[in-house]
Amino acid sequence: MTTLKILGLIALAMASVAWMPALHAATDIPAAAGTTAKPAPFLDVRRQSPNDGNAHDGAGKATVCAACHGPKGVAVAPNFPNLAGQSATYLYLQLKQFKGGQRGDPVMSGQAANLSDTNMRDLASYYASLPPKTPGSDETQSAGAQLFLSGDPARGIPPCQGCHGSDATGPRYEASGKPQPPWATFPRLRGQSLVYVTKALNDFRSGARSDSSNARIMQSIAGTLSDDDIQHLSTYLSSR
Amino acid sequence: MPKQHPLATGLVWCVTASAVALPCVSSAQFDTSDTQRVGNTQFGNNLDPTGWSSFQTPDPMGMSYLHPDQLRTPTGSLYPYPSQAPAEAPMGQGDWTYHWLLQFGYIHTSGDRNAEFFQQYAAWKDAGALGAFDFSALNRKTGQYVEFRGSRIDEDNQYYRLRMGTYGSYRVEAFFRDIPHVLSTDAYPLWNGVGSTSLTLPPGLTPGASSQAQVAAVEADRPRRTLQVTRESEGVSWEGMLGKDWIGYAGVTNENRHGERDWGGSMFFSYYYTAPGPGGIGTPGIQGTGGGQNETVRPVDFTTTDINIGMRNKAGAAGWRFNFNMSASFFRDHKDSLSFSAPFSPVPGSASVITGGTWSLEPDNNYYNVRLEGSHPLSLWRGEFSATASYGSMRQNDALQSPLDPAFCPTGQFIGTTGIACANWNTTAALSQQSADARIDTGLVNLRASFRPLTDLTAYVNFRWRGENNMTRYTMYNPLTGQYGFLHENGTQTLVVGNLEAGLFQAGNPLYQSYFTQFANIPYSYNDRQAELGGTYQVNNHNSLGLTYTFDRQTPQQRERTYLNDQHLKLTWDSQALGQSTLRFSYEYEKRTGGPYNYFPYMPWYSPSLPGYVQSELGILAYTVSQMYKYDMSDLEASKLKAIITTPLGNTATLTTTFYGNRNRYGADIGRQSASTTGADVSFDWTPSASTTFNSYLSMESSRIKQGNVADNESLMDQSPEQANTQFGGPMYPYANFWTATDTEKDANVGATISHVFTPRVKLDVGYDYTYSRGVNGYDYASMGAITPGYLAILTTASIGNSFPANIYRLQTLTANLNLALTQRVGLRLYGQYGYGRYADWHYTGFDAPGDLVIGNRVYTDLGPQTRWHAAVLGAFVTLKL
Repeated sequence: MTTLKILGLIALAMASVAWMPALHAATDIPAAAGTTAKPAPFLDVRRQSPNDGNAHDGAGKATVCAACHGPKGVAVAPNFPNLAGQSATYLYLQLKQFKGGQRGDPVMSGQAANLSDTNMRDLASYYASLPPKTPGSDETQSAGAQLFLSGDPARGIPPCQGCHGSDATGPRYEASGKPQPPWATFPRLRGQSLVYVTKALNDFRSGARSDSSNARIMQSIAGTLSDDDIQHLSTYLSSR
Repeated sequence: MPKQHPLATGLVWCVTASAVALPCVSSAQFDTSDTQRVGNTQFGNNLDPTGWSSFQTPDPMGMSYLHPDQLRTPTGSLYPYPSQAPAEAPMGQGDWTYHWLLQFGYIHTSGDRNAEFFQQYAAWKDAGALGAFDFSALNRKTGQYVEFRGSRIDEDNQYYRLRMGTYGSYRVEAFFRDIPHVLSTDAYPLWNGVGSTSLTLPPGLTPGASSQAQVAAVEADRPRRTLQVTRESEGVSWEGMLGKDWIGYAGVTNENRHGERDWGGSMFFSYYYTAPGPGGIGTPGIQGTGGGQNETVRPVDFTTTDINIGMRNKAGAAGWRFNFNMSASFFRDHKDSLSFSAPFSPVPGSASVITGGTWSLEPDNNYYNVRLEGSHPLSLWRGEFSATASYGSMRQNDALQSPLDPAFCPTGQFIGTTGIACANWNTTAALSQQSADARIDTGLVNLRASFRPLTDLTAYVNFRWRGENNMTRYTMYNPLTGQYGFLHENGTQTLVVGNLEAGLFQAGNPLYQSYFTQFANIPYSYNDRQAELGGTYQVNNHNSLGLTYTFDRQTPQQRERTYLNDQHLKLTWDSQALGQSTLRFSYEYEKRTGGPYNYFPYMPWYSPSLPGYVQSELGILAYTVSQMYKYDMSDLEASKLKAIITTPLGNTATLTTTFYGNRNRYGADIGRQSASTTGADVSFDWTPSASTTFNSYLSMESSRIKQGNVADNESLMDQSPEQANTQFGGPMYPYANFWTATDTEKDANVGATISHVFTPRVKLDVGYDYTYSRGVNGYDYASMGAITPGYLAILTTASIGNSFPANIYRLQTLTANLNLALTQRVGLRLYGQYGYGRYADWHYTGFDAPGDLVIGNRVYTDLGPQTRWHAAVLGAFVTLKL
């Protein structure tokens, strides 16, 4: 009797599996996974300590970078990010990710491939030491400003200023006894171009940038943004 | 009365309920957080108490990509690391993914594998085992899922569960499980037929005419048995959305308990130790040769079918939220009697007419309950009003058994020289009714209003009424003889003591007209009204205070007091002002008073209230001392205190310390005087990273219960009118006969577990637990007058002492579990458990071999748990997974 009951339960399980329409379509599983390159290991940056590079040494290593990012860290074209005044830790991690494969870019992947860890740290410190691009307006009423400052709780969008600072120049934080986010790894957004911010948010949303713990945060946030939201935020940040 | 199968009864109830509550739903049993009403919340077993160890590899990412360490709960405890999701694979080209895991192997036991405490809740066997079988599939797009889990140690220890549904829409669950409970591994029942409803004596013994030597000789050769009860249960449940605002649920669970357990079988007292032993006064006396006490074995073969159906509204009409629930429980006993042959004659030196006895085991019964709950926001002070009304009814109408079994008191025979004819008592015609017709109804109404008049202040008022009405009326009247009462001890009491003590009352019959006996059931009932007022005040950011006052008035019927007033005052203090620590403190004071105490309110159900009762010229023998207060009816002053301090140690460790105690002082010298408990727990939890977890604990508790009583002055019984004097300090209950009993118990538990992931391929869990318990039954007495005179000849003050030997229970368990991933899909699991126990219980003193189980006219079955044992379990499993 007991055996019958167990068999009945297993039969029920099998029947319920058979009920799933997807099983009937389970004929051939794509074998693409075996042909692609080995994915880059996930980069956990939650315990990342602040960058400790030498800005002076970095200046001497930045010649090639200036071709795109400008001689003073302000990009020569809107599809390149401005590096001047950016968080040194953020910049170091981006170089490290380009080298490690967590981020991919036709130019930067190749450029970072031959950089040593010291070089990356020095370059990051150098660009962080440069004066950032001159700020623009301080308006707070646009749709982009509202999203940045207040988010949209109804749609699950958190305010960007929580991590990027109320003026988008980077986080402000106070020490407490609780576990802290790696504040130094969060970038300054103020003054980036509309084109670059749009691309970055789209990369997060699509998962193109998702192989680090910070990228996972942005991936889930960007997933809540519509195309219009991204446009509004990019416009707002590029105007500041 | 013909029996109806419980499932048939359940089906009728379910269909009826469905017609009222829902268009048509399947039946169900609920789980965990939602509308669970009956068991089965946890699916695990001895190999894996969590039920999830196969998947319990902590996720290094923790709960957040934002920070590396785990956050803490509001009270300061660390949240555990969540487990990594198992690897999934796409199922075809649709949106489904799935994973599976199969773990199978062999379990081997060694050492004292039959030790009772080793087997108690495991029923280990050397056999192949299914460590785990899991399959699940999920459609992330539609939210549909199906999940099957199972594990099998052996046929008595296994579970299987199927869940399927759509998140946010419905869920269906079905399960089957067996849980063992080993009660004895050292049982040597004298009888044949263990597990059946009829226990017969083995060859060589004659019912009612065997000698002690014959019984002891047969008992010495009886085979060892394990007595075990297995709970087998199965059920199916459903819960789902019914439109936008309504959620329906329904479930049925069926539990079969089957097996055997120790039981009794009395054929009148057998304690005639009145003559000193060979060593004179103070040495054990001559073993009794009268009466007979038999530790038999009863069958357990029950089915309980629980049905639960209802619907709840989450958004509500006009702001009301509702929950309407109907439940029913049907208990069926498939073996509703037990008869046993008795080896001895209750009367020394002559064969007995009464050759056995019969038990009426638990009757079939039904329980029904209807419950309606509703709540509505109030505009005043951001308040909320909620109300609950419930009505329940317990009924049983099983066929009644004849007072005596014709097999043991055959028609044509008479009980000794009493003239009591078996034919008048071995038939159901001797009963006043043929079935029980028993019914108890219960009701509940609860009204509650809660408010938040200020941001920092919450307050509530609650009124509750509960009532229980016992409508069962049964009179013990034999229409064949015109007598009230019943024949005690399967008829052997009258055989030994004569007609006057048979247990019967009959007006006009000099043999029975003065006998004091209960002749009807006492329909205990009560009403309970409770009012409660409470609130909390947030003093500042770090402190909040709470105060609750409760007044409870109970008006029991047919009890010693007509009313009881219980008042509770409870103070709570939650504080985070003590550095990083969190304190949760509570203190409660209770005072119970009541109406005048009537030590014996039961006279309407006793023979003196029947017409024709002739009071003895010596008066009615005192029922008990009038100062005897039953603890649930006596005055009480009680206080409870509890303090929990949670101290964070950095970001990865927590120290939790708990102190608690309660003191109960009852307003009684006779009866329970006091009860108290004092304890402390300390636990240290450390999670330095996701790959390492360490937990340790130490808990200690001391408890004490003291009660007092006074021995009868037996010299007055049937000798003096003073036998009716119930006063403490009077001639019948002199102060000199006063005694107290104090039970003390000290318990300690200490243990630690560590879990470490060495590499993604190697995970080790090791745990150690030590349990210690020491109980002492102590006593004190005013003088030797407190000792039953019959024993004075064999006892001295020195031999009496002031306590029984201590009962001690010690258990140490070391458990280790190693998981090795040989490849991505193939792994090895090694499980080991080592147990070491020591046990001492004076009740089993002298029971070393089956032949020791016969003492005088008493027959025991159980030698008792092994006093010292070592045992180990080793398991090796292969794990295959997706």
